Amino acid sequence: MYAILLKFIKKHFFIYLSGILLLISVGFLQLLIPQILRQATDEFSKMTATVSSISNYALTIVILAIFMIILRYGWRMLIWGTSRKLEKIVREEFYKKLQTLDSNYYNYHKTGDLMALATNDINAVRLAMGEGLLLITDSLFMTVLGIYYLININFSLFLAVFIPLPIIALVVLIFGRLIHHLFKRAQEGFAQLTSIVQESISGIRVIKAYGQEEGELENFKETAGDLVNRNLDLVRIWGVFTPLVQFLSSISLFITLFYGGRLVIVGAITIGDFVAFHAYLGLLTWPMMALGWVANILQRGKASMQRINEVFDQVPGIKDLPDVNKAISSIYGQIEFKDVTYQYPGKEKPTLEKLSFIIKPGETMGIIGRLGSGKSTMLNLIPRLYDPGEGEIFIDGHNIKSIPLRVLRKYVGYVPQETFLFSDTIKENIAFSFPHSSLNSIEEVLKKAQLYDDVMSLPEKLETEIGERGVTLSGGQKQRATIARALHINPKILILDDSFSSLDTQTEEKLIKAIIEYNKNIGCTTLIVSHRVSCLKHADNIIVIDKGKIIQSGTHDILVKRPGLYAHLFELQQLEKEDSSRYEES
Amino acid sequence: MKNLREFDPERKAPDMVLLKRLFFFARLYYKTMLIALLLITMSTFIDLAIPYIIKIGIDNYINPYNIIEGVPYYPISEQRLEEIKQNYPVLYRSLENKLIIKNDTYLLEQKFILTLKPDDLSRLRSYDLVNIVNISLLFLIMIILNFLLNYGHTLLLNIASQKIIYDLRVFIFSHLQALPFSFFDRNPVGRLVTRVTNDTDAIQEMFSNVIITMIKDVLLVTGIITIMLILNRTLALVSISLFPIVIILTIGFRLKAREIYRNVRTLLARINAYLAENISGMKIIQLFLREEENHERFKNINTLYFQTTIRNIRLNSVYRPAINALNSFALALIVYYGGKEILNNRIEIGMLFLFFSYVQTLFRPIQDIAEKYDLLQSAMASTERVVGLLNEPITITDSTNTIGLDLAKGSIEFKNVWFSYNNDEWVLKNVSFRINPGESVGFVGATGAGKTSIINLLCRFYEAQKGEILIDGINIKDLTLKDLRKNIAVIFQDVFLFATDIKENIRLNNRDISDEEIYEAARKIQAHQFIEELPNKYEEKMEERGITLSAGQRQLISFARALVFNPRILILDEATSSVDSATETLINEAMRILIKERTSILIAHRLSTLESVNKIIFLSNGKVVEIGTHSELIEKRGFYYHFYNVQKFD
Repeated sequence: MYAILLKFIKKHFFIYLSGILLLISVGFLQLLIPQILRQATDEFSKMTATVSSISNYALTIVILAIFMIILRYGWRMLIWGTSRKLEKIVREEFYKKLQTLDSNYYNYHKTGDLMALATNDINAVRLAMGEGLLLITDSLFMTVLGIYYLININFSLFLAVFIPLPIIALVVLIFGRLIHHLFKRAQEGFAQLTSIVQESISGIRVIKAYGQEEGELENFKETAGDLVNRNLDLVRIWGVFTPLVQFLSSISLFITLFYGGRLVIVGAITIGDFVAFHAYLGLLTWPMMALGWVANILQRGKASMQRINEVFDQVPGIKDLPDVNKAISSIYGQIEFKDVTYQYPGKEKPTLEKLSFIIKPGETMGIIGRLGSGKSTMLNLIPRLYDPGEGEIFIDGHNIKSIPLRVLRKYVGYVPQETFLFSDTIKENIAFSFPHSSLNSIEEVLKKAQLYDDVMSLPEKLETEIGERGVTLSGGQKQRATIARALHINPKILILDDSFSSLDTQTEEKLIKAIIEYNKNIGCTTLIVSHRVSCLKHADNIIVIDKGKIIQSGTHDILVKRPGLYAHLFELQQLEKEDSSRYEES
Repeated sequence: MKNLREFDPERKAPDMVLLKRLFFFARLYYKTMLIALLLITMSTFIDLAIPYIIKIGIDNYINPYNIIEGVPYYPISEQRLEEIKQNYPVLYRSLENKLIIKNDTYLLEQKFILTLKPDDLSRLRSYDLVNIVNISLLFLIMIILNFLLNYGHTLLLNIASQKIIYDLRVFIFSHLQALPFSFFDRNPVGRLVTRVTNDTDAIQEMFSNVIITMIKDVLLVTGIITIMLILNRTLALVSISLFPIVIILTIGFRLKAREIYRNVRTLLARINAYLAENISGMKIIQLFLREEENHERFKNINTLYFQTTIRNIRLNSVYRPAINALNSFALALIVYYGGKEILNNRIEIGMLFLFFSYVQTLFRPIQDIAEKYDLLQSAMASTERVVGLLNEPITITDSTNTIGLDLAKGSIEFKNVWFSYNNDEWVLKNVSFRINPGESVGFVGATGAGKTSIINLLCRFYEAQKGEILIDGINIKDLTLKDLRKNIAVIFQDVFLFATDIKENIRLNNRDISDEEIYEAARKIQAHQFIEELPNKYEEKMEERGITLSAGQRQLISFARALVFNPRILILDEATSSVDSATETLINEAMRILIKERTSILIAHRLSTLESVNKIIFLSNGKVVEIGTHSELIEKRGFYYHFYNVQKFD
């Protein structure tokens, strides 16, 4: 992150510099105007002004104003524009970085937190590099120059008048922090209200069915009341802030009138000095506020930068090592696990313990086991979503880590347990790896996943948008779409992680049978996790996993005959079937 | 099939009607609002008075010269002259021969005054010194007062508007709760949430900020213009001459800015949506090697957003400096014309100063009003949407004379019931059946046969068009909704879990249900074991609809919910989705416990469910076609037998 920032500043140094120079020029010209007023007033007071002299003054002001338009346009475009550019680059780099981070990172970092970095924190960095820069320049340059002019007019008046000004900076500094904090609290209150209403409406059917309206209303009132309090807490402070700053700058005017008026009367300064003093004070209030803001903005920017940095500093856990074998450009599909152990960070016990097995190319392996037995974790190791802690995995005899990641993943088709599709068209979702592939290839995999007819009956067919808007597919259709997506890459290894839970038993069995047969023909190694024994019986080999260990393995016919978990599950499911058949006979 | 009419946010209501509805909610707080308005008016007067005080200070005390034939003279009263003569004879002697008398006033030329030493000046002008202290103190009082007034009105307005919006929110929310199911079928959740939260927020903004600021701005502008016109017509007209340009520029800017800003917001929302989706689906992106393609797409939206923000910056970089420049032009005009007025001895320096100050404040309210106008518009649009929601009729409600029913025996009867969701296609046609207390009945039929509609009518989620539905012989329309639903518990097909913990999901908001009762219910249906295995047990939070639980576990929680409410009538819409076999056994087991000793209606998909019911009612196309026990219907070899066989061999 700091590297990005440094590179950016280096590259845009002259733009920033010219922006700052323009800004300083504006300030300089702005501070000239009171000088004109000063001279004019003095001439008016002495009645030495002439029509030509006042025309000159007026004209000078007009010319200054025209120059200032151009300069102001310039610095705004340069400073604001560059800060937006920085925002763009940081956001893009941030996204790029996210793409390199592995699944374990995402297991421990919530989407919401990462989103907060991408929105609030990047914003804070932009503010620091745009507004912050403006405020620093303004507050330093304008203050110094302004003070110089004031001292030039009368030192003792300057001292008197200047007392309240640093207080303005202090007020802005302190209140700025307080308001920021209270504002965040109010926003959180609003978010709570939103989520409670969201819950209530989503669950309105349950609430009505159980007659719980009153209780819900009470909850709502409580949260809405809390929001009112949080908002009022904010208003109590924020309501003081603006009038207070106004009051403090008016105090300076009061001193000008009180003490400056006296000085004019006793002849220490002229009436022109008095008017100029007044005008300078008007111009100094803003830099004083800026001085207060800038500390907050820079501090927030720095904190945000540190948070973003944590992401940029993250070393991707899964990546090609320097000794990767670049000669490997394809794989055949033999898989070997050798004493593989995996333990999630922060967990007490390993999820997988000394797992060993071999699958030959084109074979199908069924995997069965209870919830949380480690099946998914095991499958995740094959496309290297995780790397094993101990033991080794070999693909075609190569250590998995020696195969370039891109090659490995190119040939592994993965259907996760939780269906995830993107809010895009069906076509885009199926041809996910190869966005520019032919319609034919898409239709073909749709047929294999037995989704073709469903898609063709949709109004927009392949172009149908799924996701938030438009037609939402049913659970079963979504699962078949994820299967089609995996088939579309023509995998050499296909992984089905309990991918059929929304389908009924018959459809699941039919689909699995078809996929196994097809894969056998083309020589694609297949791994299938299912809860149903009947779905696994076509597999060449089955392993039963319990608590991270293989407790049984063999073909269906062998396992059924052996006492153990497999036979037990088989009996249970068989009973269900017989239960149903009884009706048939009665 | 269902009525697709949504409550139309575009439906136009006249602004006055809308405002009337709004001000109905404001009525309780009108006193506070009036006081706030009074404070604001006072503070506006002070805003106008402050520069005028300085003007008086300058013209009367600091620079009180009379111009005679182009020469400034200091007027000195006879009384002060007398005092100086007595107290400071040296000073008196030095100015004695410089005194001029014109129109009965003693005058000293300014040139001479400026040659005097400070000590002499403070002696000569001691009245001025006293007066400048007095007027400064007046100034101080004014700014203190202004501070208090400003703080006061901000606080009052916000207190009032927060309370108004609280009332409004509670009102909308309870109205929403009372709306029938058919309303929720038509309207997506997100939209309704927006009505209760964001729309009311826009209205709150209007009450606390928009209306009042606009009033203040209008007061300020008219005040300044009026005073200027009274004081000096020429200078007033000169000052206002740039006004039309400011207005036109501001309107033009606003129109353009609104459009750009809308784009900025849409694009930002797109970026964030894309990013959020990509973060959630990063695993898939990586597995399918989609990194580059998605990066390219992200870059495109990001660049588009960047370009739009630059357009926004450019617009502002033209407008804001232009307004600044206009301010300076006005200053130049005043220097020029005001200078001439001074040369012609028509005004004094203080007046020039006053016009400077007024012109500096004159342009800001215009920008302010333009900004607030946008807010006002969005607040009106929000009001319209909220009023649209409030106008939605509550169609299902208690009748005027209800019969109390504390604990039903549990008999159910449908008598010639006709029902349609959209008054177009009958979903139930002349349905009649009777269920005795304690009986369990299974409803069977193809999708769309009307099974779920029967549940919907029995609970009065929808209202039948024709016919009667009786519980314990009482028409359900004569019962209060509360009594009716107290006696019935429904288990829906798709289990809904709230984002609270498991305990709260079982008892919902019913404080009368103790923890012990919850544990007992969970034990009975054998959910206790898996709940105890969760990290936080019964306090485990159900995030995002309980995705951490399996379908079967969620179903068991909904069973526990029904059991703990101990209803006389139980309705179960069985889920079709498959659960693993171990859980399936648990669920069947739990179901048997649930239906014990109550009247129960089951919409059955599993054959094992049908085994345990007393009676089966077969529906086809909205009609009851067969009633009987399982074996009776099999023997009959009619609809049920056929349907059942088809399902079997599929």
